[in-house]
Amino acid sequence: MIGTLHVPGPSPVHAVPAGYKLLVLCGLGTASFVIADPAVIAAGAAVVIMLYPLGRVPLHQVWVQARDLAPLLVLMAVTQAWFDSPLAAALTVTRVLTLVWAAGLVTATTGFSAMMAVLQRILAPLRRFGVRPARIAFALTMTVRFVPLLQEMIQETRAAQAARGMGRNPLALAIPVTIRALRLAEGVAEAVEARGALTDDDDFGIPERRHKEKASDTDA
Amino acid sequence: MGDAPAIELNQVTVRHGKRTVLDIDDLRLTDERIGLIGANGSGKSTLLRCLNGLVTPSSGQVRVDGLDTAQSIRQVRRKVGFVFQDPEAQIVMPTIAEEMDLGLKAQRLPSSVRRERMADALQRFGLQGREEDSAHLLSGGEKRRLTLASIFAMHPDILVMDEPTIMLDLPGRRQFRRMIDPLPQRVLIATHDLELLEGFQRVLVLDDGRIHADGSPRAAIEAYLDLVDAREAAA
Repeated sequence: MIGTLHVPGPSPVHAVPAGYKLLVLCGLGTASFVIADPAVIAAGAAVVIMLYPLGRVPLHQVWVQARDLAPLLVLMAVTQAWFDSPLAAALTVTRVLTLVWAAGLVTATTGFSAMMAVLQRILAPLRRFGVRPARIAFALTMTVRFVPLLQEMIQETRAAQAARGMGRNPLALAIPVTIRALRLAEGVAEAVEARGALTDDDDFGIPERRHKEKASDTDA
Repeated sequence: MGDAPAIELNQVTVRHGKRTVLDIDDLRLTDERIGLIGANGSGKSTLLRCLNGLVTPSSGQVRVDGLDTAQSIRQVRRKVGFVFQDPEAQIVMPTIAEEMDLGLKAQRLPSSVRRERMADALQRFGLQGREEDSAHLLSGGEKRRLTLASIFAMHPDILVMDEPTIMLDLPGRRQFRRMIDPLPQRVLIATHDLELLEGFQRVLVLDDGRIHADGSPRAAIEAYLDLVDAREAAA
């Protein structure tokens, strides 16, 4: 879950506004595909890794991320080496690792609401076409909150069905989970309404410009 | 938050199709601690939902501090905070800080005030220093405390709670009681936990959408037990 990847600050890396971090991440992504020297990209990766302790993110996260990606990296490296060259394989692997580590650092040092505030800023021009950026951000935030709850719901229902000898019947799982999810959705809608958030005349209970001003409020 | 505004219901009915789920002639609530008891489907939750404007009466008026809940919904919701039965449905944001901030942002408060209120509520409900914790990973009791803290931070005059102890164990219920006792707000609680009503000033017994009894906790609980006995005897 994204929420659990966040490492609380404060730190110099946490203090950098979310927008700048995402901008640097985009820049790094572009640069890593323009630069064709694996040594230079590896140097970039080393800089990213050095920022982990500065951001109070445990260094073993670097290893964990690389380990989780290992099967994919091996597949990519073998394919590239086979069809192109060992140099191309090294380039691809260092590029992907650098970007994954950089994205991991941004995720760990940026509050989710700050990230959503940036998303709202990016989507703001679409308001003239009827898009409600704050609602999109709110929906994404709620997704992060409720995905683990829905997973739990599925596990509980599966266990209940298994206890009654229904094995892995997909229909026996889908129907009760859907009903429970709909009930939950109804409760959530009521809870949001009761607090006066998401009314018709504003977004997320707060005007867009205020999100802009306070984008890094919960960042540190 | 000292003198909580009065709650008044006049000729209120709520109908779902042909079925009347709430039917109250006149009711004025001014006590600081008020309980609602009754069987499932007796109208407790509907009555509470009317106070926050979540349910609009089919006829009659519900007023909070003179404001009609059907007309002045935004002002009413600032005055009436609602704590729901299921914390899982009430907690909609991924972390404690974000959950607390949801209602405060809706009130359009400056960030300095939001931070101050958040710190105060977290301290009061024993969640200080855990702002960045994932809400999903909290225990049942902690989730209940978070729901209380996030509503309390909005500084409502009245706190309405729908079966708030239903998912709590005995220590959790006792802790809940210790937390609500010192609250400065008027508190209305619908509950099946009759022990929770000890020390309340007024308890209403609802039956089939109507007020069956209204009085001290002891008198109301006796009336409720008699009602249940009579129903069982008739069955």
